[in-house]
Amino acid sequence: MHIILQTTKGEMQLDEVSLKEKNIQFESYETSSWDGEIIINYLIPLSNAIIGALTTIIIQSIRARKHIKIINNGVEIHGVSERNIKNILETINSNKGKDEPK
Amino acid sequence: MNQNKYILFITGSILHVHDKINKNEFCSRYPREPHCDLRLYIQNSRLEKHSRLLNYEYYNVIFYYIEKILLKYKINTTFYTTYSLNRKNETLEINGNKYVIYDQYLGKSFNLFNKAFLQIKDSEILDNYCIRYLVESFRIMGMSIEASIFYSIGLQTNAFEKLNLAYSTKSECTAYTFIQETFIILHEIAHIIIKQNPRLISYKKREIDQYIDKQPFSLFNNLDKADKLIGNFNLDEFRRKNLIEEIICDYIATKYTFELFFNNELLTAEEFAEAIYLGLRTMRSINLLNGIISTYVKRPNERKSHNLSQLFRESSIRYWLIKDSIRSQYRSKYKTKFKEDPLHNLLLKDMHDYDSFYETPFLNVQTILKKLSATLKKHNSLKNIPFSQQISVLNEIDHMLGWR
Repeated sequence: MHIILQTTKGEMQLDEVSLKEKNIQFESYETSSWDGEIIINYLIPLSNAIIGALTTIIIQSIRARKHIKIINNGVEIHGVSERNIKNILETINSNKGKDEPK
Repeated sequence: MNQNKYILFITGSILHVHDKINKNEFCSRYPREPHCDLRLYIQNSRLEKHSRLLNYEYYNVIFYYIEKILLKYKINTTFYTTYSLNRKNETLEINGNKYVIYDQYLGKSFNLFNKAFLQIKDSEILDNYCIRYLVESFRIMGMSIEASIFYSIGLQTNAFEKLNLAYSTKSECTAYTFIQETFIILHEIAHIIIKQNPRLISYKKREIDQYIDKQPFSLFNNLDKADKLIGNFNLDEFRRKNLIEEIICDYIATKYTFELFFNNELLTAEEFAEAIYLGLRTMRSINLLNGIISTYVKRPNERKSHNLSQLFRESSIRYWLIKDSIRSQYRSKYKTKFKEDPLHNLLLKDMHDYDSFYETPFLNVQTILKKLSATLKKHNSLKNIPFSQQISVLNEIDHMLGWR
């Protein structure tokens, strides 16, 4: 099970340093498409061990008003807040294998 | 348009290219299954539909010809076709290797818009397209309430049924769709070319800068309903740089699409220009929808063209410059000048005929979403739907729409 942290390249992007500092494994994919924006996608294997660190990074990003989206199985997770993010990540992790793309 | 002859031309190309692909090493450049890293990225970033729907033969022709162009620039790229709700054509790099991911669902949209405008001549098709687009966009944005609302509207109005009927109507516009898809893929490729050859920007920059400042086409703006919405057109440094790069990519894409697929005996220059123009119109309509949806979810991005007046003005500049580009390509290939400028006349006609068709349904979406936003604000409880419940609603919509 993976999740993607997606950020728009620019001043308000989520920097990969934050992920490295927390020892979170990831692959980074920089993509561009018709609208001209450059998007950075951090593909992260989700596990119990990283949920705490990941929650911290997402909360910090929300507070810093950084442009991030959290994507799981091609679907954005809507309504993420400081209060519910940990629960959401745990729910996704506990559903491992159920809805994963074949 | 001599549609039959052009279809024969495309079919001939498909047979020719596949003969070549099967015989040599090109096979590995058009993988049906991408390698592990790319597969993982695609699976996690997009909501894909069954791969059996993919028309590899058709797209491999486009890729094969584009590859020949890339050899000139010593650029190696692997092409991959997907079919996803995201309708997104994207380029990326993994471990130094460049990839182009083309979304067949975007091509299906081009074909539908062409059929709706040129063949069936019914703008209701685009109203129905908008409803389905809203369901699918809110679905990939994980917004279950909005996705459900528009799903119900689609059912009540038979929008999905009518849309499916339009999709399944035999296309008489294949030539246009083929040109548009080639152009769109080449536009993305052009960004890669520019990245490796930045002098291509400086070569044309001054001329384009002047064009943006003077906007010589503005004489005709009063004909463009969209332009009535335009207020001030202030380009900051970022937007101007971005627009110039987009225009240069349009030039490159037009040049190579013209070289590859323009044949004076099969298509007139006007038809070729119209095909590209309508392709850009379709992209603008989709961008417009995305902008309206982004505004609804309160993520308007000032740096992008989600500002509607900005979007209209920028695309007007692109249309007129593409017209100039096609005119000069035509002149250099056939060593003849147009007696009068038929492309110019075409664009003037377009401004009359196309606006209501290509813009009204999309601007209606803006009104609908504004009303929806005001209505949902009154219901605080809707903000606290648990994540698992949202996922289950979204999965249900997938099954009902035939995704997954």
